Amino acid sequence: MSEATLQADESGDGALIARWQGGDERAATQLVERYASSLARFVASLGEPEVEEVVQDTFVRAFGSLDAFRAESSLKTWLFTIARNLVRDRGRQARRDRLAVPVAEEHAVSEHDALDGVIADETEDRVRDAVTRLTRMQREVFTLRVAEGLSYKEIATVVGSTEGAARVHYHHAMRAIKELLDE
Amino acid sequence: MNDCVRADMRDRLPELMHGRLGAEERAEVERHVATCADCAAELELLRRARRALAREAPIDIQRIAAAVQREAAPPASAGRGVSARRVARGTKAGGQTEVGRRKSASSHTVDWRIAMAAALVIAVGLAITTVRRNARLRTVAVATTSRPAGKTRPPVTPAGAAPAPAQRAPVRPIAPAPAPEARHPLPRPAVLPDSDPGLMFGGGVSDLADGDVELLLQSVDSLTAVPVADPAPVVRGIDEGGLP
Repeated sequence: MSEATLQADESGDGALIARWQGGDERAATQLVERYASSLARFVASLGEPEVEEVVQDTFVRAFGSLDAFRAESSLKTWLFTIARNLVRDRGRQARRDRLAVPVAEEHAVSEHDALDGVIADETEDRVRDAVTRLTRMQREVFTLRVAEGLSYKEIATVVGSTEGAARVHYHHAMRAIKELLDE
Repeated sequence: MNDCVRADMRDRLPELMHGRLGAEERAEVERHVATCADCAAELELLRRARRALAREAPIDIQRIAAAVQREAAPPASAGRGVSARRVARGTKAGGQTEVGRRKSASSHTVDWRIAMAAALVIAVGLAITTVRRNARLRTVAVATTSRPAGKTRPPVTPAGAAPAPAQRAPVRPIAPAPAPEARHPLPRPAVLPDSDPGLMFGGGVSDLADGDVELLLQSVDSLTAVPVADPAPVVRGIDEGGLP
């Protein structure tokens, strides 16, 4: 049994997928409940304004092609990869249509500003603000590493890079955040 | 805030926070963090960052789950084929998603390219047919103008193709010449064998009406040049003792 298959089985994803493929629609609900919040955090970190729509499209796309899922990566990694591709496609489409606001640092900051009333901890607020100031790639890697606990290998799969590059991006992000907090 | 020189330890702090380390590895990292102020500070920073990022993006999970159930029926359920295909195309009951629209536009592009490729193949086929047909007509013209009266010539056959039995009689030099037909001086097999493998949309000269054949013969009579590759002049020279 491969490492990826083990990961899927350890988290119970494999069993839920099998139940869904066997006709149990509740298994899909359980998978959505398991990963929707993580996906939403990741999608928001990319500066995508329509978080819920992207998360929904991610699951619809994933379940629509679940027969093709060969567990070469974990289901979680696969979902993050789909979500990232959807966000990038929407960004390209928005730029073509000249209708939507391009994904930018300022936009991500404004999204976060909407949640200011919820934030109580000043330090966490500063950390979050520092994250929004990272480059897009650094923010993606940092979010996947810190908020979701993905390994460098999994991150490399999601962002279409290498483990080494993912490690470099993570450490650059951490260095930048420390410097921003020290200011 | 400084960075610990033990990069291998710093690298594993996120895994420690998420409980993804094995027991032995976890104990090793925890022992290091207990004695390293920089790693302890970085671990605390990671915890704060995790909490900060966890507060992002409130979503309605139940609404998403309901949408997924509506759009992606499980494989074993009834009507799965249609539903799964609809989902794979990114379509919704009331319209198309962004994914569906992109897919649809892409399909139109592919269809247009396929149509252009098909048109190109047909055009090339027609061109080849025209060239081959002209070549055959030229062969007929040569056979007619270069054949002496009362003599027979080997039938013209496609390169590499064995002559049909009906075409072998004229090959024998001592055989009497067949009686020429009144309106069709060309032996039919010599022009278009029945097993012609060429690329053609219609029949050969034998399918032409009498009027068309007459026009063809008139065109042949008006020819003034004989292709260099035609061996007929050499044969005639030998038969008539006309060699220099």
